[in-house]
Amino acid sequence: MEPRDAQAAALRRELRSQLGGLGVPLQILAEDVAGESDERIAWIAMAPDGRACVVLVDPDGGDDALVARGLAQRAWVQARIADWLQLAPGLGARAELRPRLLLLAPEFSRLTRVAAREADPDGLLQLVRFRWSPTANGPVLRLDRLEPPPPGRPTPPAEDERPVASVFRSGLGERDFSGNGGATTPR
Amino acid sequence: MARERSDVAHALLPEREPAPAADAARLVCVPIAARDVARSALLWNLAVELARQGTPAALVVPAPDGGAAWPAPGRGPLGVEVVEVAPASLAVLAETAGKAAARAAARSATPPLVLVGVPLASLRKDADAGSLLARVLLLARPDERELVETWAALDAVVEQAPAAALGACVFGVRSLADARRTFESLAALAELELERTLTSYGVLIDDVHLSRSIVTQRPIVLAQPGTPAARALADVAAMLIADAGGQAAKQPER
Repeated sequence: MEPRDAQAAALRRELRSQLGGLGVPLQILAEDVAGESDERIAWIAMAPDGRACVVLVDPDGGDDALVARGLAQRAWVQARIADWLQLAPGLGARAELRPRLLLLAPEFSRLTRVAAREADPDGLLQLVRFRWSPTANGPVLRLDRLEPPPPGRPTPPAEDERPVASVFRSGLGERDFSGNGGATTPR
Repeated sequence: MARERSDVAHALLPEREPAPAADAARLVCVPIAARDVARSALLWNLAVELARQGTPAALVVPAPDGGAAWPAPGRGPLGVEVVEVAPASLAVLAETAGKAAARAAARSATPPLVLVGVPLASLRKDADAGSLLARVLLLARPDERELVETWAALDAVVEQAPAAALGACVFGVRSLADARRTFESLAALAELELERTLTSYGVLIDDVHLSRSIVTQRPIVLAQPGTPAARALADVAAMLIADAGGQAAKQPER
């Protein structure tokens, strides 16, 4: 297996194992499904309340195209839940509920987050950021649910009015910290 | 700490004269939690260092629930005035800070700087805080729990005052590298989530000298000049003065 394929497989395994930790327990029903226009759906899962969940992954970074693909695939899944129930009545799915949509990527721009909020004001579209973090026991995949930006927040100042960059500055040197035991004061 | 009626009258009695308009650039708003002794002490020491560098300074803070890091409200070392406010709503803090700035300006030809401690709770619930939040300085510690609180304060500030100039000063670190990392992680989050940049105001050292300052209620820069803690205060104060449009009259001692 090529290193890149091995990394992708490891990522997929970790993501799958952590899907249930994103607020709602999920039972995975199908993996790597060919959905709308034969595009792949990473997972289709079911929550305890019978709401289906559609999961898409973009390992290269989430953008508005991922949101668009997710919405299309969710519609594709929702249109088929009733048929699946006829084939498998024990599925526990409720066809009248709009499926939840989970979009996973290493990063989402503010534009994409706003677009996701506007596309699904019911909160059934969830953006999840994943990142590998180094630990003593090797890299660990961390998942963060991204809250949508609050609507109506005033526009930040124009680009040319902002400071150019967040650059740390200090006139001290490391020798100023020799003998400093760190925070010695009470909280 | 017992306070004289005159010390709190400004917050309780109707004003006879309209409050002077504060130059927003001369107010530095610092989010601070109740009973946060370390940040309170750093703020007071910073105010004294501003005065030592030739900039008239005042400190406006919520009335402490317990012991204070300063000797008493009123004018103290190097003429730094401490004003305790209760209740510490943003409106009252802004009005009190404006008056403190006017008093300090009347005593010197150099424009003053007023440090204003703002309760974290007020940042969310109070409205019309724009004038007070024009310039915000976060005192950030690397501890993860504290960074979450710092982040919450930053988020609230940006929501209330999107044009606020945002700065961060790190403390509670064991090395300059730790300070840099703490600032950069906070700045990266601010740029990513809020699309705002942070201005760095260096690092303060909270070593045994700050503890002594709290216990003795004597400012570090007078009681322990030449120590790393005093040098750090001088460095941060010089940056605050320079960014407010002034120039430090006395350069930090090396």
